[in-house]
Amino acid sequence: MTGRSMWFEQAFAVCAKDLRIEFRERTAVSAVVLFSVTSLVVLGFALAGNNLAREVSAPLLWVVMFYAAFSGLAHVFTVEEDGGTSMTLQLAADPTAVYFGKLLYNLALLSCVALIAVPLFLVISAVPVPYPWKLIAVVSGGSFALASAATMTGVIVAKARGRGALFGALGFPMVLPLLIMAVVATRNALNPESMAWEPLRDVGGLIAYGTMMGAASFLLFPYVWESN
Amino acid sequence: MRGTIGLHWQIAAGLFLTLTTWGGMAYVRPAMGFLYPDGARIIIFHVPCAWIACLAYITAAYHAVGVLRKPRDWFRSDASCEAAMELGLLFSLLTTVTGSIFSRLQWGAFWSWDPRQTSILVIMLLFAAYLVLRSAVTDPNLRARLSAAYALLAVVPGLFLIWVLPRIVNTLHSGANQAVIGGGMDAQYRTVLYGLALPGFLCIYAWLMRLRIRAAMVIAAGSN
Repeated sequence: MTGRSMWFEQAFAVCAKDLRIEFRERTAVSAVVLFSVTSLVVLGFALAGNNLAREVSAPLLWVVMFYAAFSGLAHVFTVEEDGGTSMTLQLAADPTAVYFGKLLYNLALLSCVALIAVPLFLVISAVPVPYPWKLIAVVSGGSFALASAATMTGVIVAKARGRGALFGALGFPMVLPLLIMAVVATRNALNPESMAWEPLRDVGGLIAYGTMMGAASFLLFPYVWESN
Repeated sequence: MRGTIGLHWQIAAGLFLTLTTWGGMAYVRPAMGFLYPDGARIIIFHVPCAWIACLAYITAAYHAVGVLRKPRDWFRSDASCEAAMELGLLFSLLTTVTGSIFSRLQWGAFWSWDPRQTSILVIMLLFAAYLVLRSAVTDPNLRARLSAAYALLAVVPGLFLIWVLPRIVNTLHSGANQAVIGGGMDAQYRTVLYGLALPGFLCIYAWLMRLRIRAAMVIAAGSN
């Protein structure tokens, strides 16, 4: 067996392990789902039947996505530190493979958030969606960028033995540029005029941010992961 | 000997900053074309603060690499990284304050979510978050490594904010922004800015860095 296939095997094993734990205990998913549902209910209550303008609905969607994501994504590393399993995982797998596995798991979790929060948001806010595929592209790109920014922040917070407040404080400046881009892109995606939409700028920017964040995390992760 | 070398920075900073004050307040003409021509003088102090905040960030990232590359002898790099981040927070705060005063005079509001304003706000938050992370970890070795990794990770949003974001988000006042950044700046302003203010602020930054690192060394020597 070559080294590369070993590496992928380890990464997928880490992801599968976390998915299995999540499937048994459902701590992160229930937190995330409950958070998005409650915040959307509050939003719906505040709107009280009024329709949202496109300019306002885009930031609100991303506020919900950001907080829902951040209520669940830190869990992926704190569970290893709390359970005392991080040392074993350090011995069992290559650090970058661990990072990749955790990133995949966070992506799965965020897809879950998006699948619940976005349709619910559209129902509550009653924003017309002229081109659904544009919105899907923006939400996918944004979720990828959000996951790759949050994964590395998550490991730093877990190693610092910090909790939610620290994760928010450290994560917010990391995701703010991508949130601004995602809001602008969502606004353009919901715009019925097709001139407003530029795929390279709107989705490409988000994917570029996620890739840069992922590359930087890939280089830095071993230093953080192996410090105890 | 060490003391006199330290004094050179202070003397140079005092001299250049005195000249900058004279230059900004008396030498340059009021900038015509602005709503309050005399208000434009604040640029002489605003722009160097932004430069120094960026320089502080670059210094911090350089020393963060040093921390991660040296598994044992990381202490001085870590102290330098922290000192640079603290000064970065100070200078980005000064940039924001002087910028909003100018913004109020010129565009009528202290804050208008221009991409440049957003960038400096997020960079300020990055400096602050770094210091929050440091205060949350007690073990010095772990603190050095975690905060160095965070400082280097923050390069990504930093690059995006400076080069990408202003091209994606429509700026409300690109013409005015150009004037602030240097498009149509008067020769007098350029002379004072590059000849007096930049060396003055560099000297005060170097002096404060040295002071802060020496203080960290003294504290560490005392606690051992």
